[in-house]
Amino acid sequence: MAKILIVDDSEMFRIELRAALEGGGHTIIEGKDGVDGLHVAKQHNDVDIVITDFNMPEMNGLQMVTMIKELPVYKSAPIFILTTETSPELKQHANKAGVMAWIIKPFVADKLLMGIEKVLKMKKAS
Amino acid sequence: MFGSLKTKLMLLVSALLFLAICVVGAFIYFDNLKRIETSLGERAVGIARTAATAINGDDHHAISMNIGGAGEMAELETMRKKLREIKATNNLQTDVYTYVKAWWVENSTDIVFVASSNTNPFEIKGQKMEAYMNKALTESQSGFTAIFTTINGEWITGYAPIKTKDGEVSGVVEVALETSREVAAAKKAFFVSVAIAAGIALLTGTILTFFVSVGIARPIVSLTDTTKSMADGNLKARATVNGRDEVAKLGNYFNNMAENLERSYKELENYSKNLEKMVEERTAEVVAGKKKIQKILNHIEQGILTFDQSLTIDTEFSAFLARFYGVEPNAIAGKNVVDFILPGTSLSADELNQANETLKSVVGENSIAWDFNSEHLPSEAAILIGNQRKIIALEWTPMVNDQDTTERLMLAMRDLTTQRELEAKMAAQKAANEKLMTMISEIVAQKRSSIGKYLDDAKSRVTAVESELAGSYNAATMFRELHTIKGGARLIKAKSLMNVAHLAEEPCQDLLKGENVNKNEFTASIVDLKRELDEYRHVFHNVLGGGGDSAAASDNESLTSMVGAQVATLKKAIEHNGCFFSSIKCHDGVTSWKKDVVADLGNIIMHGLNNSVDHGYLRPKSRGKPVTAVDLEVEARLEGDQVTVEIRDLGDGFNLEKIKDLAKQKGLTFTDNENGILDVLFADGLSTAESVSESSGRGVGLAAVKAMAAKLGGTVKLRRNQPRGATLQLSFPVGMVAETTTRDATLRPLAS
Repeated sequence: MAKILIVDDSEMFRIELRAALEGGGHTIIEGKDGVDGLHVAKQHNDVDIVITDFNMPEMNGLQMVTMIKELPVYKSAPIFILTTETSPELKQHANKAGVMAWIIKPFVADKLLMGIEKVLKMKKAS
Repeated sequence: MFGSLKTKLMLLVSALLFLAICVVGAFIYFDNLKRIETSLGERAVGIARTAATAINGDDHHAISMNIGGAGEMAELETMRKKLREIKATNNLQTDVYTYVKAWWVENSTDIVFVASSNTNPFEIKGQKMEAYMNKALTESQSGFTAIFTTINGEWITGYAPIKTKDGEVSGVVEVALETSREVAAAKKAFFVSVAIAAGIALLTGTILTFFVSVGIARPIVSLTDTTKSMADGNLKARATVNGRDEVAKLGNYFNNMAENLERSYKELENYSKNLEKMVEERTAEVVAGKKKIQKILNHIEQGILTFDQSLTIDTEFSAFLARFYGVEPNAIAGKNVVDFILPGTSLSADELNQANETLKSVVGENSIAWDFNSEHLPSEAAILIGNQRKIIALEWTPMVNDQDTTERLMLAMRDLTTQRELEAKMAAQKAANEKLMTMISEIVAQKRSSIGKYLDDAKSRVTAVESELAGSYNAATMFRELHTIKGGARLIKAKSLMNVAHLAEEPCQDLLKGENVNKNEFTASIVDLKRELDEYRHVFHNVLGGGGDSAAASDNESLTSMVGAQVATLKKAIEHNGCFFSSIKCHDGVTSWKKDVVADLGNIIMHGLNNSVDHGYLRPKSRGKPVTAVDLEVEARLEGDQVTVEIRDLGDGFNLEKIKDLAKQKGLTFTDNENGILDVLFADGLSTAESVSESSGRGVGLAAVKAMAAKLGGTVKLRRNQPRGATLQLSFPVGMVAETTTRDATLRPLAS
């Protein structure tokens, strides 16, 4: 099971996401927004996966991911961004920043868990 | 030409010969030169000796002693004359001179001029003594120099000592001879011999080369020609090999090499031919495969297309798309997939946006994005083509490359319109059937006379309500009528009728309370009630024969006719489950039953028969047990104040342990003996099987049979049948029987 950092400025959404991921037996830590997410990320060096919202005040998800990816322990951590819409430019930026995939809101809990299992297996294999 | 081996060899041989001859020629030349030198030198010395003899030595001594003195001695002129004679006699080109050592300087090596054939003798000072002069002066020996060259030509000088009477050396005579002519002759002879040597060398070289080339060069040249031939593509070319020398070996090695080369080339050629064939075959396969796919794409009744992250349709797609969407085939490629596939879609703007966003976040991205998001893609949608509504099924498949990126999506769409319409029709039909069945069972369970009466009464009451609706709209009157209709429906246990009546009564009740009621809705509920009553009446009269009690054809049915009514239905169920229907034997000890029990008893018989067939044969069969053909026995007999009806089967018996376990699981109390355990089967909600058969699916199992029997004052038991199977035993009060007699009959289904 994995330790997953979830970052979203909506508490409702964090609760929902936490419930879904804990249902898969994962350990969850939370960030309330981009700035807080980065802060929390710095405090932990054993985070397996990061799932973050895109639209957040102060620092958006992509900006946060870019800064998190500069932390050595996050170099190989899969990062996913939740969003309702994306654009080719944004996708390109995200790929460069090291985002593995976009998750379109609302997420489908069992698909999310299955995907995470797959990512963890891939990570283990490599 | 000079590059050819033959020429090179010839030049080499000639050069060597030339060199050799030149060396020999040079030796001869220098030897010749020496001889010329010696002969000329000896001649010069001879002249010098003659001169020395002609001169008076003592005079010469006196003259030399007088050098630097005043006046010229008379002897000097005499000496000059002698010297001139010598010069003239010998035809000398230079003057003849005499010398002495510079005697006045101690140990001097300088020589001093004394006399000459020249009239005006010149003086030389500081001239060093040559070796030959020294030899003549000190050792009284004659000698000559080597030939030397000056600006005036080639010369050789001879010396001879001049002696006094006492034999003392008083000077030396020098005679120089011009030798150019002789030296030139020698040189000329040399160059001629060199030229001849070159000619001989070239000639000999050519001849030698010819012979050598026969031995070495020719095989090599042949080898060269062969190699060139091979290089030009003639792999069969071989060198001619003669003898056993190195060249022959080379030829052999070359031929071996050529052999190997030819074999390798043949292998390569074969391989490349095979390869070509393989490539051709593979290409053919690919072309055939492509044709096949094209054929499928042309004929398949599905829309199949692919697209990449531009979300525009690729150039290859199934022809069905053009047919289905009514567009030209060439107007499809390049269209946005969502716009094309879902014109006038029933999907909400939000769903559509989500589908678009999902496609954008999936295609061209890591395949994990598919896992996360594919659920957002629609799997079914209603669309509008022209003004025709269609329902389509959509199946999206990711095409992932070896970098784990979803390169394209394949979309397969099918027309679901007809299927969905059929399903809707079937669902409506099913609902109608269920309603009909409910009505039938409700009607069957009631006294027909009371139903007939109720329906007549309800009809007049609805008419009354309708006139109120159109006229005075009196809530109290309407409520009374509707309430009575509802009460009557409850009395005859017509549930759906009761519900509809209740729905019509409700707004009327509100109206009574003085609340606002939507008259249109109220009117609609009355229309519904009227329709429901009409339906009920239709079922009562047309489906079940309707009418009053006396009109019921089934009122005095016998057991045999009750069973007979079920044969066709049973046969269908039995054969549907892969079993075979043999027969039902009837032993009927009752002629006729009282009219008011016939309907209920018929129902009980129907459910009893179904239960026996189901548990004795069909369920064991579905569990994979081998079962015999369905053989049932039905018997009615009088026993004191009871009439007993038995349904016996020869099918699968009971598993008492299983029933016991089930009872314990359900927390039922029971007497722990066979009969006690079997009684458990009549408890509500107990089933020994997982599946529910079609007949049991109507919700009437053994518990229902028990309830229906109880209604007639009867009881029911299950017992073991002998030799096998089960017996369903029903006991009723004998009052149900109208007449008795005994009739036996065997009922068999007609072959289908």
